[in-house]
Amino acid sequence: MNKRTFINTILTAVCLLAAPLTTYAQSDASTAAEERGLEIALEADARDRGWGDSSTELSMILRNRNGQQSTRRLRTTTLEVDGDGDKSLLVFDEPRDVQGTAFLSFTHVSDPDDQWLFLPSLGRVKRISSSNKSGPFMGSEFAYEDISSQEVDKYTYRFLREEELDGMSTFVIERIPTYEKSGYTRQIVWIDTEEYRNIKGEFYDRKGDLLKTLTWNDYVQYEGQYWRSLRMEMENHQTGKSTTLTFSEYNFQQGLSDRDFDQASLRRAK
Amino acid sequence: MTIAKNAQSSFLNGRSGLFRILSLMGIMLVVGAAASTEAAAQTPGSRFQQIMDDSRFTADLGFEFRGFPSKPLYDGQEDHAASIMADVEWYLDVGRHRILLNPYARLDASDSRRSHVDFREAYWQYAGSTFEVRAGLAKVFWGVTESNHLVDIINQTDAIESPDGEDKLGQPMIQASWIFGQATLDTFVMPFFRERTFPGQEGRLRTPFLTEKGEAFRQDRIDLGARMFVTMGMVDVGVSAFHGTSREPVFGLNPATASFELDYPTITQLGLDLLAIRGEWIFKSETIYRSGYLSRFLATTTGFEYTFSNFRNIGWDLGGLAEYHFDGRDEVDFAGQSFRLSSLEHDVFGGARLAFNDAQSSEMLAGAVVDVISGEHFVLVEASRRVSQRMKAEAEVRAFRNTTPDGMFHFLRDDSFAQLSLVYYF
Repeated sequence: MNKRTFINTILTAVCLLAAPLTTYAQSDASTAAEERGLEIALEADARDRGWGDSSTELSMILRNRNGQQSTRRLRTTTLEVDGDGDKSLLVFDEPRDVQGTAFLSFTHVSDPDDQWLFLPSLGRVKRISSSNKSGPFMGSEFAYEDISSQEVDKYTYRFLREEELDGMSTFVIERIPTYEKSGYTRQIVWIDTEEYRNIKGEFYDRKGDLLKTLTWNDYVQYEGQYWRSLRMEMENHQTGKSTTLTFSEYNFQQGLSDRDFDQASLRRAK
Repeated sequence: MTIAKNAQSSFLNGRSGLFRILSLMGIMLVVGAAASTEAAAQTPGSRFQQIMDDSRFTADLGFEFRGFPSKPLYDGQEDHAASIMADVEWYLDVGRHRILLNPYARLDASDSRRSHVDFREAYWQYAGSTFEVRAGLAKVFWGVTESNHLVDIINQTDAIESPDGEDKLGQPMIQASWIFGQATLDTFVMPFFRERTFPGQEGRLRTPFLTEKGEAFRQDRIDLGARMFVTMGMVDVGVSAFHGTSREPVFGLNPATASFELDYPTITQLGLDLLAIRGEWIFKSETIYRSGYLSRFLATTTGFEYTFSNFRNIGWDLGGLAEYHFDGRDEVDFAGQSFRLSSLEHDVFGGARLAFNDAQSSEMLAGAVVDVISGEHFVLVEASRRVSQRMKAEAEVRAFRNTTPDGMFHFLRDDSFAQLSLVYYF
């Protein structure tokens, strides 16, 4: 019997726009709007390829409707994999009672992710189920599906219009999740026309009502090519709660390999 | 077969040992608090291509209170128990090397035998690109099932911490591991054996007879262990072997002295742990074959876990567990009497876990183990949540019911208890 409480936090990858795909499905788009929507998604994906590996620290501030706050901190390393989804290793730093808990994830293009959790008090590696990602990550307003690696195949797309947002010209695209267990019926995403970065997203729940709005802010460009948002703000309109996700500076291309993302590395993660 | 009586010689024995470890913890607390640095932007898990220095100090302090509603079986036992614990960890990473120290202490107000200190871990480790080595005391867990851990054999159980047997004493070892892709081979040489801890005369949850530390019978030897683990997509497999002193003692009645004694027989154990995952279903199984003095048996624990994530879209995660235990162990006969510490001959476990996924990480767990033949059962309910950013509260209820005189829980029949603990994390 497991005396220790089961820490059910799952994160499949943290970097948005960080899912290099060397394979993708061609959509059966029958209308120009759908074709154009897919084109934009593919271009955004193509611009974020070849980064190799990256690491960063995250800080999450959770706010409820009374303004009370709590903080989460974690560190993450990610590896771009040829012909498959990313591998990532996360280590939790705060809250202190979960410090040292580590999470290893191998994402895949069409199969569910392989995920293992390391529980430091028991020294135990536990394999966990990853097929439903609609639940909240660490009690925040980000669902696991919001922060896991965004792959083109996970949605069907439809171009809506062009719009000026915060002084930038953007494409406004509707995307509908293709995976069954999503918490959303659809999403609307604003992507800037120059660099193809996500700027804003609206998430509609299973009843079709507007549930959350996400903004990506403070973009920094790395290696002359890869854009990373250093601050994401998610607001839940139905509960009045919000979460701010802040990233430290990213480090790229540190020469990591599969060896840094195996069971032995998971056990040693601190 | 030679049997030698071996007092547990240890730097940590006795009163001077207690003083040594408490001094060490005190020094670590002061130095750690004064000079604690958290290295910025640490990369988790990666130690190969870069030289990196990292060091961290953490300390957990806990208070635990237990209440026993039934009258105790023996004189001197009380109906409540209060204790405090400290779990301190410090590590230093330099390039591919790590040194880690994890002393632990519990001070119990009712049972002096439950007060104890230990190094859960104290080792040096080197991590290379295909090879890792570690020397010192460490904690190693093998296995996949929830309600029973058959395959897990490296560490001795610190049984006084909790009747669930999940707390372990640090094991002195030299570990050498080889990594090939998704396969890992871990090998262990363990020159020092540690005896299981048992409650004292005034402690609850104790056996009918008392055991003296250092008087158990066992062979003086070096124990060996190995496990090969492979993960292949949906399946994780571990094959393990152990030859040496069994971590599980056998109680016997010495006909000459007419008193009970502990024996840690020399055994060979082969283990297989298997996990297969498909969607929300996880199949889990552990099987062991053990042979040693006077016995040879097969035992298995096999079952399933099913997870409903984001249950009814309110953010809760609900997990259901079911496991079956079979244990082919025969009774070992000493002058017509014997006791075994572990006997799940035909038992079924069912349980459920609920994680609320709220800001306080509230969770609950409930489960029961039932002996299919005797109807004897044991029920567990646990709940926990953070009460502040650095403090966590846990409540636990364990009930032993319908016990029969030859059942495994019979000696615990009046020791059902409720427990509340508060842990502060520095």
